[in-house]
Amino acid sequence: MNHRLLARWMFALSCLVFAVSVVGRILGIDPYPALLMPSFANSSVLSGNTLTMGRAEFVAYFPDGSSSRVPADQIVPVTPDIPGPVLERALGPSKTEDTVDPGTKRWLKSRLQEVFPGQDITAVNVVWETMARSTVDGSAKLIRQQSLSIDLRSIQ
Amino acid sequence: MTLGDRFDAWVHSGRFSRVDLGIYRIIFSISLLLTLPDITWITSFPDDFLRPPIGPFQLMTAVPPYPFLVGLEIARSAALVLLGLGLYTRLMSVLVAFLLTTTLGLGYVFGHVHHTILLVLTPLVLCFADWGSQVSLDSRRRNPVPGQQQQWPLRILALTVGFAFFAAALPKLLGGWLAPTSQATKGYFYAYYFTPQHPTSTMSEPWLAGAATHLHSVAAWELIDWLTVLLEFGILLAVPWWSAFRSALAIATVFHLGVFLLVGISFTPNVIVYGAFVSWSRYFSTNKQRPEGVRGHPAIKAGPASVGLIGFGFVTTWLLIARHDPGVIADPVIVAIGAVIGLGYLARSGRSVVRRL
Repeated sequence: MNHRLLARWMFALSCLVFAVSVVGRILGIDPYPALLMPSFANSSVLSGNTLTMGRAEFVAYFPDGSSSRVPADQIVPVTPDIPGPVLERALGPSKTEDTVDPGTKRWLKSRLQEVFPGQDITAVNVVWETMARSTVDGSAKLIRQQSLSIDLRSIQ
Repeated sequence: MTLGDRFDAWVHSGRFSRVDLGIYRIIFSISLLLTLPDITWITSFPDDFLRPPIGPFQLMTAVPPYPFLVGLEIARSAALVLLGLGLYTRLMSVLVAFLLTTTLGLGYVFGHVHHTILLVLTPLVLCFADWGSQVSLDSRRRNPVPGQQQQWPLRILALTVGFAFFAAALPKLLGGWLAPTSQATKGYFYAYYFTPQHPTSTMSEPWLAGAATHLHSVAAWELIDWLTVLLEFGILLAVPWWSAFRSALAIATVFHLGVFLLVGISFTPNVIVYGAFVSWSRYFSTNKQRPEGVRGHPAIKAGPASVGLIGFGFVTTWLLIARHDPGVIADPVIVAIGAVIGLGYLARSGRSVVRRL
């Protein structure tokens, strides 16, 4: 195929891939691979001078009844590709102990045992807090707290 | 002149040389070796976390084992080194594109897609430009390619860059970024500012973040929203003219540096791709009268350069597998170099416009 024809075909192919990718994005699908860039489309991150943001914290319980709080970044390794929503899908407040995947429970117990080596963990509470932060003075106000309790005694 | 003829004249116009592309191929290879992310971290998560995006990764039902991922990283580095050396360049371009699609895609299987597709498309498109015909080992083992450098692959690459930006701008427009009350940039800034070590931020305290908290002007924040959307649409609008397109990319490099200094997100993949549109021979050539088609490049000695690139590939891959991500340092450096080159281009263009007036 000569370069003239090849250029025309490549141009047409680029337009087609672009059209499919954009339609996918408008429909709310984020396909991969696709001819897209991150959109940061949400324009309502702020409400006036207030930013509503969520965070997760873990509370580990030990056989003697004591407990210890653990920030989420000690349980979930900080990576560029595991933002809050991914954790929320697996261990979010909409989940119950019965709907959490057994594999996720095993993973959670092994992560807690890495944080507390040599200690037995009997249960964990995943505490989800929704905070309102002021962009004027940086103050924070707790507006909602939900939690998910998981019994880890039978998890090997 | 028919529409087809006009299209042909447009798509084949340009002044990029074989040496420009040969040098860029090496820069592309080195930059990727320095900045591509480690993918073995995905083994730290259970299979239940898997939410692959629509596409081939939906076939995945379990997180792949660690040795398989390390093997992929080594294969990717080896292909990048061979691409940089310009050995079997066409084959390596396709292989690099495949390995990039795979390794980057594996990082997105938990549902968060970064869309670094331009990195994948660059070798795939530029292999049609024969970017291994100069400053390469291929140029030493085969006869020079006759004729002028094909410009159309660069035009197609420019078009895909424009399309990608358009695809980022359109949702902003539909999502209300231009509404006078939105201040979307301010929202994202504070979302990052209030989240120490935000997962996508490479800096714990971006340099301009403190200063930006003192910016309380609604008009100023809204202006940033408008300029962002205009720049993103403008890149596609500039594609028909090389000088306009290169100027738009030069502005984009400064924009990316601003984003990095404000929120710590480095758009390094974009900056690396923009490098395809830089006349590199201007910076590296030791003999500007050198004709097209001459083998090699006077500034580069093949033997030591090859050994150096292979060693570099070993070191960066080892660092990556040992979880000492070289990108932590390389990302900001590449973004900064991109902005310096962009500003230099804008200054030269400005001077030439003033001279013409």
